[in-house]
Amino acid sequence: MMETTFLITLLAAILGFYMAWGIGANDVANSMATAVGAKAITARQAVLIAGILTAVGAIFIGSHVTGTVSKGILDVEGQSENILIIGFMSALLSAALWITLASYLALPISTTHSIVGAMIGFGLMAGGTAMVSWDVVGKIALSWLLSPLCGALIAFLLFKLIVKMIFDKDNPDEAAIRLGPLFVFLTFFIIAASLLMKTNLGNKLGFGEEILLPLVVSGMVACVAGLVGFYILRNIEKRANGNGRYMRVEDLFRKLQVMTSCYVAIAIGANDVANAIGPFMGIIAVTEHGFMPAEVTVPSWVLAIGGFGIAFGIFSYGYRVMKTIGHEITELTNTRGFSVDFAAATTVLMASKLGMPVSTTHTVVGAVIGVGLARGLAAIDLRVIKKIAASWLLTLPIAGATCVGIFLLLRWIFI
Amino acid sequence: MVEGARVVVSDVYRKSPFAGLLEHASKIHECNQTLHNAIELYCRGNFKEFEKRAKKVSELEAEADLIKANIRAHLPKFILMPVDKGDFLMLLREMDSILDYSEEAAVTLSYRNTSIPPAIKRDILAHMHKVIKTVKQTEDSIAMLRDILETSFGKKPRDELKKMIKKIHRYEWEADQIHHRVSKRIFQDDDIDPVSTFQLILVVDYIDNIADHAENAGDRLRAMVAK
Repeated sequence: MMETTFLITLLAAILGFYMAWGIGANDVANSMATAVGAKAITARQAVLIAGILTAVGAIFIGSHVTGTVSKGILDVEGQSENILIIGFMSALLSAALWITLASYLALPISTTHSIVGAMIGFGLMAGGTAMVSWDVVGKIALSWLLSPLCGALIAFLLFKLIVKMIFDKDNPDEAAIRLGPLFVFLTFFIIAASLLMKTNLGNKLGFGEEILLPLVVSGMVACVAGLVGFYILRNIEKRANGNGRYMRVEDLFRKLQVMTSCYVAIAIGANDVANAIGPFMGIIAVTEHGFMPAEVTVPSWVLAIGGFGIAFGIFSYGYRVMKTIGHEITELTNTRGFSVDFAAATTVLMASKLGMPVSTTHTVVGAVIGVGLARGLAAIDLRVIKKIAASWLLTLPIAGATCVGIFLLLRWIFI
Repeated sequence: MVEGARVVVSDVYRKSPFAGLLEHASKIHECNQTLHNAIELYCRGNFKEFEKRAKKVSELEAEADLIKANIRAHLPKFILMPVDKGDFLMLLREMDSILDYSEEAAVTLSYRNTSIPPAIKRDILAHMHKVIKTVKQTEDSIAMLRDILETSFGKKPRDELKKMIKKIHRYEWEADQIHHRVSKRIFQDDDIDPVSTFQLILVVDYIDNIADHAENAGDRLRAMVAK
């Protein structure tokens, strides 16, 4: 029995790592595309930063969403241990299958939607509609609708703010230098708060379930970061002028742009890791207890497998993807990229804190449309909205059906 | 990319139509310089060299037409721009007219090798000079679009644009005055034969139209970037 447990866990770990690897390869562009497109960093630098930071986000903030994916979607009361293990395994397998096909054939599958769809498929097959926690599924579906909208809204407001407080002024350069530290403060505050509030890291530092103390600490960290930003920005003034009158503002935003790209990488790691190891976590919980316990704490090593998997995915395909996208996105400047990144990252992090698995790609796209609506981009292709809607409608049934197929097969073999 | 629902981050971006607009504007610049050159040669009686320049004007007009068609072909319904698409296309139309009338002027001169009396020659050259000034002002205004787009319609570039467009109006008015003066001279000069009179009147009309459309382009530009 011990051997089978070990084998199952090992197989699940391998599949989870493989899933994570696929997710990294697929979504690598989401965090760094803006910075590379705006020529703030090179493709090589982007791949390195994205890989490391996505892993960081996964390991230190990823527990909440993982919890939802592994046990929030299904009500597993009364199901046998074997059924559960086979079910989660099928979900992992079908999702991993689709990840591979999706990268290879450019198929319309979203990594987030496929894992949720697979779990629902298993639930419906094993226990009928009663087994699926429809309220959780409903919340997840709502988050899929709201995340691009939220990304759009924040990006819109942020870019409008930049226009009003910087571009509209008589001396935009000065205004950018003055406003820059504020953005640095905001970014670091949100990142620190995400890292410290109700996370494994927070627990280790003794914060536990508290909210106020982590917020205060985050505030202090953010202040320090803001001051550092202030001095760095002031020193940029001393360097040579750019060519073209508003180049200086874009120059000043270059550092902010890189910073927010890092922010997005962390947020994506936090949210996407659940897609990789959600069912894997379910298997671990069930094998450990013989049933699905009420509370699931995701151990750090599980998150690490997910995080490193994503990082490897980014390192293996990242450079090629980043170079291609960098060529395609030529109209982006640092101010626009900054708005997109900040909006996307904030939205994704908020969703992660709420335990909601959202599509980071759709959120980024929403943010770009937000900037476009704020008159920040020369031309936006609105067909992408249709594509997003199609993705919602297609992925769930396809992934669910695949999972059902694999589940029935495995059940027939092993039970 | 496969037709379907796979969303890649780069799907939402599209090439800027303003790049094409600026390219078109550079053709206007080249064409106008060439026309100016052509008219100087014609006035000096160097009809052979004039022919070559006139041919170049037509070529440039055709090249600009291609750019214009290209821009128009790539503005489908689903594209979202920070300006009204209608305003954008109407600006392009006025810019196109600048080139059309440049070509008309050169071509009409090529119909007949007319020897122009000195006073009228002076006026025509002054007229052309003023029209060039008007069009240059329009070109500069269009170039201002870069700053306007970068600052997302910020106050400073828009105010500068307004000033530049006011200048376009002034130069166009001055060109109009010279047009009236030279037309009067042509009609009152009994030494010129009727056919040549007709030709010269047409030519100065066309040259005046260049300035007219340069002015219209400026107005369209102003409407396009209005907040």
